[in-house]
Amino acid sequence: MVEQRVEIVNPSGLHARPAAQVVEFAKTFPGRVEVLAGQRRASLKSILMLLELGLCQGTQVLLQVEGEGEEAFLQQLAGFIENLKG
Amino acid sequence: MEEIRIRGRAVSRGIAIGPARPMAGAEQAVAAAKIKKKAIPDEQQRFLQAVRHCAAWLRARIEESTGQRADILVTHLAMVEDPYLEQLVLRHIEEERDNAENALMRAVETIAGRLAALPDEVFRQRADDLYDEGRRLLRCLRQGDIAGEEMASGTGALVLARQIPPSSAALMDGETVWGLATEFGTATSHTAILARGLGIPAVVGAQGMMAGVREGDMVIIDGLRGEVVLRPGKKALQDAEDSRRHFLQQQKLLQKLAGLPAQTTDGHTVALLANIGLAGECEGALARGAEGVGLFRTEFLYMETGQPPGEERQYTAYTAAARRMQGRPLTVRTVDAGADKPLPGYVMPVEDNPALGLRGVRLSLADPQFFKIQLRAVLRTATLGNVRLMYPMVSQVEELDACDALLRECAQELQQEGLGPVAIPPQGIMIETPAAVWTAETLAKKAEFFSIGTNDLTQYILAVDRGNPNMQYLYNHCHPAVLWAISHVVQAAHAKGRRVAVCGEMAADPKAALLLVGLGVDELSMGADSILGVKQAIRGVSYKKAQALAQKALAAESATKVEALLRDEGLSHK
Repeated sequence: MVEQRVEIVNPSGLHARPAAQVVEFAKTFPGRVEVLAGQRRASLKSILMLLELGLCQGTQVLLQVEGEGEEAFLQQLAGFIENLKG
Repeated sequence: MEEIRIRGRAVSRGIAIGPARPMAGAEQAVAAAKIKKKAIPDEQQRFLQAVRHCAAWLRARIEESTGQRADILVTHLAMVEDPYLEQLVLRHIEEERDNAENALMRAVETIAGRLAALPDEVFRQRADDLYDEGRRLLRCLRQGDIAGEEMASGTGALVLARQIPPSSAALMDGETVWGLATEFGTATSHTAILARGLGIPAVVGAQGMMAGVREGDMVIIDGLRGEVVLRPGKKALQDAEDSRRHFLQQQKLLQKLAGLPAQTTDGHTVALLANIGLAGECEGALARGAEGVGLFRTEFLYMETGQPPGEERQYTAYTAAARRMQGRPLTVRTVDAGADKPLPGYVMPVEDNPALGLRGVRLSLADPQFFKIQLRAVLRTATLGNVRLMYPMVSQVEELDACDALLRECAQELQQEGLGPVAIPPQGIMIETPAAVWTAETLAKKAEFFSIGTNDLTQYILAVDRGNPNMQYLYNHCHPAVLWAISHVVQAAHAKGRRVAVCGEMAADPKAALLLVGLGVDELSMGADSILGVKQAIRGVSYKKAQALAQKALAAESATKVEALLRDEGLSHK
């Protein structure tokens, strides 16, 4: 398992379209993809779990990826989240 | 096949003409709310099938959409296919033996409740998206394969059924349902109230209709006269189209009043609010110019699933309504039930005389643990909007004291649990018993507002059972005894600086509403489709004239004389 800290930078946070995009992206990885915000954890393959975290702009989160090719995917995922628009 | 006319009761105004969609599976869906163990795999498959249907339909829509519309659909698709939702639903089916519909509703409510509680508005709005998709999934579940095609074609139809279960009624929208007719049901049934809220014509009590109708038959639902016409001939169709056009023109004229105040010609203003049973009725009410919700009947929440709703479920419903009202007053009435108005899934004592028994606030206070669930849900909503709390069937001041004490106890508990900060909303009472009328001075010291429930008040003052067909000739809210009671309540309240509302049928009758204005009532709350008609009446008279009319009515000898008075001068408009 590998992990990396990222900050939510897009202005509206991980809601609606940005959240759907992240989930769509996470689903392309066959292994486990999760996000931790404080004590709370969510699968990045579930938009509803992700929305329940209410991640707005400026929140620090920890990404965790586990499975074959985890290193490379984690890099891509972090880049994806940091480049979200809207 | 020839034309068939069936009489029924008009419960939502308007005329709908279109193809029939008979709803056959409705009763089955209610009957089998719980399933047998061996049906679990099939039920789970049924849900997964509905998910596939909806997802396929959404994908097709996404392909033909662009920009923001496509963005919204992509989010919705992710919700429909969500693994967490799926897991919750499958688990409810397996562990609770819920049918797929109920399991889905419970899962949606659980998640939407958490989303609705998030501090950030954009996240709270996602709860509405989830409800939208929950409804779409339910439609798929209910109608199997047909749903896919029907949603794809996007055309509307007239829904005909023996009766429509509340959970189905909650799924209706004006786009796919143009009109409603049922063999059973009353003017105050769930279906009727929702149809009025959505502004779709509806007729109930059209008995024998289902035997004569087939899918796709041309049908007229006349929600003005209370009639359903199956396979109308040329003349009937022409007549229906004429009266439909006339009705719509009238509505269009009335609609111009929506943004104007309910003000008499000499500048006296009355607030017009809506009575609702479901949060989904708020939009319709606002479109008709409602200045708030004067009565949120919370019993409907109990009818939806056939069991008392938990705190989260209630909280979700109240927040949804508060948010939709955008800072306008939302008056939540605590459960008004009794042996004559039973709550599904809640055991009531058997009583010889339920109208005079354990009902309204008496029932709530008899079971404080049960009552506190609702009080907690309201308290948690109170910080999100302009919420007012109202207790029904109060007959002595101690009841109000007991409610207030329980409410404060709940507030303290919420704070300790970290669910604060909690604000105590304004607490008011319904005036329905003669006891409350004649002790209004005392009650006004503690109750922050009054709302007169003229339906029950009339029954208690006149000693007439309003459900008894033999007594209909005596049941009349224009009886001078009722008017004197209202007049007394208004004076007692105004002396203490309290506002008085009326939320019974009387407020929805344009002529009677003028009497209420003349008696000094500050707010009138009614079914949303009556608001514009009442506003037109108020804008047509002077306050002076309404007051003079009220004085004459108080002095009249009988209800019949009051009605004659209203006929003669009430609406002469000058």
